[in-house]
Amino acid sequence: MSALSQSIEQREVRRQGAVRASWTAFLAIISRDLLVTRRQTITFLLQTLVQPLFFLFVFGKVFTNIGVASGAFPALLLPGIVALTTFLTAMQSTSIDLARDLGFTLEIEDRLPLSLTLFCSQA
Amino acid sequence: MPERREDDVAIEVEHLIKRFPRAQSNAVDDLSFSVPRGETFGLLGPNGAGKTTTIGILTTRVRPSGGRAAIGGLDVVRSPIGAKQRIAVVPQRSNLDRSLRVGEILTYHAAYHGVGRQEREAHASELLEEFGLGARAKQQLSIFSGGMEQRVLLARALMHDPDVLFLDEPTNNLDPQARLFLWGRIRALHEQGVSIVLTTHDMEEADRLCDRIAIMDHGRILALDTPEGLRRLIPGGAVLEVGVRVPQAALVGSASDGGSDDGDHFRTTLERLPGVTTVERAREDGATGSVLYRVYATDDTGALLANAAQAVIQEQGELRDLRMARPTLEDVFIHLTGRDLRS
Repeated sequence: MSALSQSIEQREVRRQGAVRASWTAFLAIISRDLLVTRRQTITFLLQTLVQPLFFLFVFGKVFTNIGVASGAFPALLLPGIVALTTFLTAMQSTSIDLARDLGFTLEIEDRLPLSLTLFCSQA
Repeated sequence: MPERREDDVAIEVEHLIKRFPRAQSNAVDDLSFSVPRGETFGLLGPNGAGKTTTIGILTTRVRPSGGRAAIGGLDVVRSPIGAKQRIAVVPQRSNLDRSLRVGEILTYHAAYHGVGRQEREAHASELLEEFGLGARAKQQLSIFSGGMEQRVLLARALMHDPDVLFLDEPTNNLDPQARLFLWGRIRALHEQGVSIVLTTHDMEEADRLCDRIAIMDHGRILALDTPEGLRRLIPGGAVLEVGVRVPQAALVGSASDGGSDDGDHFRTTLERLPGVTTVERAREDGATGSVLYRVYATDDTGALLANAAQAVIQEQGELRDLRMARPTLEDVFIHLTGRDLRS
């Protein structure tokens, strides 16, 4: 009970200006994201590593073996796969989570002590 | 209205309007009210009356189309971050962070609000203990029941010591134990001086918890008063139900007296009591020979209760039933908003 009944002065001390409050929240959200990512290391690695490896296997190994592509194709393919993976991973890791949070679980509202009007002025 | 210091007003709403795009009418239509610091304010209304939109505007989730809304003197449109630091919300639908463990949900929420590490850890374990979740701090949320999730939601809302707490239908779908617990916690917060805004469909809940209640419909406030005051809106005031069994002897006696009907005999006696406006013969049970009278009175009903009992006994009736039928908030609610289903 004691921690609940803080005086108004104590509460006011914690309140910050808009810019500082935004930074505090931003850093706290990053640390939260790092914690969640660390906890899901295996899944995270599988998600990001398996897809490019499969691309390489199918387009590089299988295609050359069945004669659809020539032997030099895998060497050409590799930089393309690197570029594609960078692009896809970057997009998926933000957009899928964001769509889920904003859409049906609304979890992001919990993580934003800041104004949500920035994101959805009508909802 | 007397001048009040800015400090004493937790919430101020002036001529607030919200119109959703392509909507036929305003969701919130020229709404004005204010909540003094430390008050528990109830917002009642049928589905779609604009309660959640109003709360949405006050919690900076919805942008108003017109008017002004302020939390602790801070305008929610101009300084949403300042306002958001002073409020906490327990939403209708759980929006807890499902990737975190229960203890972390609380500590991270406090961290977003800039609470120091030691303080938030201590506060979190204290709250979890108090909410009966102490042993579950390291568990995942997915195995929690609805009532437990609701407790986590409330605990999370308390992590950053809000001035104003918004509860949007907090006891929907809760079992009686969880509901009682929540009511107890809300009362405790009220005693600590936290201003609370509560929306609910549970009239009993509103009646028990709220200092003042606003009944809303079509985006407007129809009535705003204390629960007692709202009850007075129902015409008639107090209602007393008197069940009388008429003994055979009395029946014969009164019949030979003046030939009047026996029911009227008791009725006139009750009508003569002080403060009684009308007496209505509500129900008759031929098999047991008992009659139920509804006595409408304006006066203090404590004295009426005693007087009515005495009158019946004096007239040699056998008192079977005597109870106050106070108009409930639900009566007031239906009286104001009508019986029609909302489309």
